[in-house]
Amino acid sequence: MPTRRAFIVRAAAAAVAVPLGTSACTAGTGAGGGGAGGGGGDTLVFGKTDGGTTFVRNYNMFGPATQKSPNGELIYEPLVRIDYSDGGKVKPWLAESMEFDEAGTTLTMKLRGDVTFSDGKPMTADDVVFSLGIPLGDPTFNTGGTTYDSVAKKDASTVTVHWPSPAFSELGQLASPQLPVVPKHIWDGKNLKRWTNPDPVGTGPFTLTRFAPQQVTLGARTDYWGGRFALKTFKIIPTSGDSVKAQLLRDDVEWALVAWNGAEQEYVAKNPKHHLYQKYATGGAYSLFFNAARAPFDNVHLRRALAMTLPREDIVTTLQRPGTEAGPTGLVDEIYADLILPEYRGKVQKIDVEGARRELALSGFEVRGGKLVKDGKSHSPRLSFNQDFGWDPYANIMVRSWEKHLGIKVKSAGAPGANLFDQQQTGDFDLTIYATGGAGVAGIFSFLSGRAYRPLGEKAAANIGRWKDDATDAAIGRLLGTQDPAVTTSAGHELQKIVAEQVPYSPIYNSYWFMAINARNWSGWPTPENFSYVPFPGLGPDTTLTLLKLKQAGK
Amino acid sequence: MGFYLAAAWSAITLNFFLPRLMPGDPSAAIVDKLQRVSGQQLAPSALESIQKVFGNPDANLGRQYLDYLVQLAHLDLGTSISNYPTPVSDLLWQGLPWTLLLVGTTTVVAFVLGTGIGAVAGWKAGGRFDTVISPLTTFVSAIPYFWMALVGLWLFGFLLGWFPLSGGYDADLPIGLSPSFLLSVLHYGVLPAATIVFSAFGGWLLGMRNMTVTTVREDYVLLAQAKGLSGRRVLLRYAARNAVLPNFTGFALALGHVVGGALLTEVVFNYPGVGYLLFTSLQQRDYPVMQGVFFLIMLTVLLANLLADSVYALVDPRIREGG
Repeated sequence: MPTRRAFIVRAAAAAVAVPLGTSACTAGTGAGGGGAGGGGGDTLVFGKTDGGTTFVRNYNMFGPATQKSPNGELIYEPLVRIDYSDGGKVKPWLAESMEFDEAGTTLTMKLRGDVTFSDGKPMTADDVVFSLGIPLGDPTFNTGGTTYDSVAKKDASTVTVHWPSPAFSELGQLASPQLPVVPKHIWDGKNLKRWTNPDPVGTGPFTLTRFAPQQVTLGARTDYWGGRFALKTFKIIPTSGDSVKAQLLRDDVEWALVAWNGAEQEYVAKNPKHHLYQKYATGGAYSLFFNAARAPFDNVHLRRALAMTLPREDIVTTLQRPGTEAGPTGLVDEIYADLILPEYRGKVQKIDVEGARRELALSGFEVRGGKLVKDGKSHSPRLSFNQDFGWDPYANIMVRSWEKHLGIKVKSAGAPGANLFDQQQTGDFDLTIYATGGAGVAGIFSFLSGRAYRPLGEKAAANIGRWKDDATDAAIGRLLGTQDPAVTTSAGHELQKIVAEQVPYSPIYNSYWFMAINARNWSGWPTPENFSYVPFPGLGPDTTLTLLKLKQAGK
Repeated sequence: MGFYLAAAWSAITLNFFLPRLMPGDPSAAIVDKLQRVSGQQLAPSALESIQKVFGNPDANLGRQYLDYLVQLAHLDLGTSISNYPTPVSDLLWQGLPWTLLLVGTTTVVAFVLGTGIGAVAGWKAGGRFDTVISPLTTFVSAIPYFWMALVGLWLFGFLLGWFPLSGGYDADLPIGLSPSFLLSVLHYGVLPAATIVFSAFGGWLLGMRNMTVTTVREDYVLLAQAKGLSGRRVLLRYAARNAVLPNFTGFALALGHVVGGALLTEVVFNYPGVGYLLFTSLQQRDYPVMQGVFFLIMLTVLLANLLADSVYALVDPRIREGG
């Protein structure tokens, strides 16, 4: 029956738009599920919005799987954590203290003495050496992106890690959930290419109580080194960004990561006391990237002209997240305010038509019939963006603004995510949207380094705009090569200037973790105004800290 | 039989090459997903190690193809990339029973219901029943499925609270054959099943009605009526039996598509099944899973065809005579 099948195909295409799009109207219908029947008692229900409709039992923490069992980071813990409330600094977690040698290549880590695995055995230096050694053996298990080249045990509670080049600013890699400490006595000898670790034993605050494809139940340990929980059971159910809204409203779900346009009216207003909707800056930003390796955007004036006419305000208004326009440096004020140069601090980049036209004139390009012409060559630039995210409207806002203010006709070229990533990595684009961000100033800027440069056609890992600049490399070198705050701050300032003035990329709006919380049963949640950890149910230690502080409401 | 073997081989081969002809590769999807989950850009070193392992699956395609054939011959569907290192067969087993249950049942129910009502409507074409039911069905069939499912969920799940908002079963109960668990499966399944039946039965109904309308004008039906047979007997044994043939072919093919799952249903109701598995594997360029699901779909479609060919002879004796 061809007609029926054609219908299904069309309908499927529409469905893809429903869960992935960011449209506010679907939110209003309150479409969605529930399931586990809410929390109550000593249970908290977390609705996982990005894991599909079923969970797979897979606690092979090092593997490249994108769909591991949910919240494995409550079972396995990393050595350090990144503190987003404190400039993205790396702080100890399972490690008690860390110290670099003068060269910044050898890190000596003292481990906590009070940590036990959930089977009762203590965590030792042997476990840490074993765990950190897993990514060294096979790149398949290095999705955490470690760059150290050896790990050694110094004594029963001390471990040293060695890097081939100074790594003062690369400690964040030890905080990766893909690099937890696992018990050597269980993992040793297992073939990680086959073993899914179905019965996880870790140092974390929770153990696996029950695994069903549509509900994972974790139980709080009573012998956790970090403290005791009022919470006894943590339930995780699969849901979608749309379904979870109804589930939150119906008290079926109490905690979820969901970008909810209109949450103020549809959720918070319905019960301001218990319905919390919060956003925390990740430190990253969605940015316009220029392909600096080929004409026409190897021209700095042209890059500036386009950046100056980016309608950031219109875009965040359409996204219904006013006030999240990104500053010019790539550093987010909420996290890095102290490190941002005064002239850029808190700056909102408004459209500057005069300045943009001046830059266009300086570029030597003429605009003829919407095309950029110089030396007899004409260019029709394309803006490549991710269709899976429903980005079309924002791309169109940008395209219209450039045409209106500069006369340049940019073609908007949407592509499905997987295709777009291919184009970005091989440099097959003129303009594109890409997310930047990382732990600390070095984490954010290091991708601009010449080390990450690859010629067009070859796959570049992160430096997709193919930025290659001696001043940038020198500044990054100074940033990575020392832990002297005076030097790193000045190097950071220099990099901010490069981003703002040379415009290898232009930040559009800041990226956030959006959290919806139903605090009917549990109180004690942090707020974006006052937090020392982010209540994001995927950040490992931060998730643990959040749960540790929760108290049963009304008690 | 030779035809089926040739079809199976070409499907298996296309199954291998087509996904690899799509732009993009698993590494891009892994990077994309990791970045979205963490809200962070991956470190360049992480990107490089992912690309090293998954970035170039086209390398030595011939060798891969041979490995793939050998694997298939051992009924080994390989290891999933997005769920590494879970075997593809585990993933299929997790979703397939639910898909077969939901989509299988609803396909049969929709067919029986649609064909039955269609026969009655076509028997007295232009009668009171027909003038109400046929336009109504056309109207209902025109409603996009996802919209109807969302409205159904909103009305019966959210506003009235008769049915759960999501899931395939009460996850607090142990999965098994206990009466309480089976009841929960029923409770959770009613709404998704109802929406599928509601949207699908119209096609069967209209097809059957129109075929019946033409069949009842045939001479042999007139003869049957002239013999004084009861209207019910004439309708069921004479008119409907012939009119059902095209619908029957469609039904056999629809059964073949059951294992493909119902992506929309799964998305809207968070129903466990293979539809979503296929969807994510496509998005993430998870070749082994894609191949596994397509292989299964191919097998069932071929099987359904074979079945249709064989059973058709029973339903329509004329085919047997033609030999």
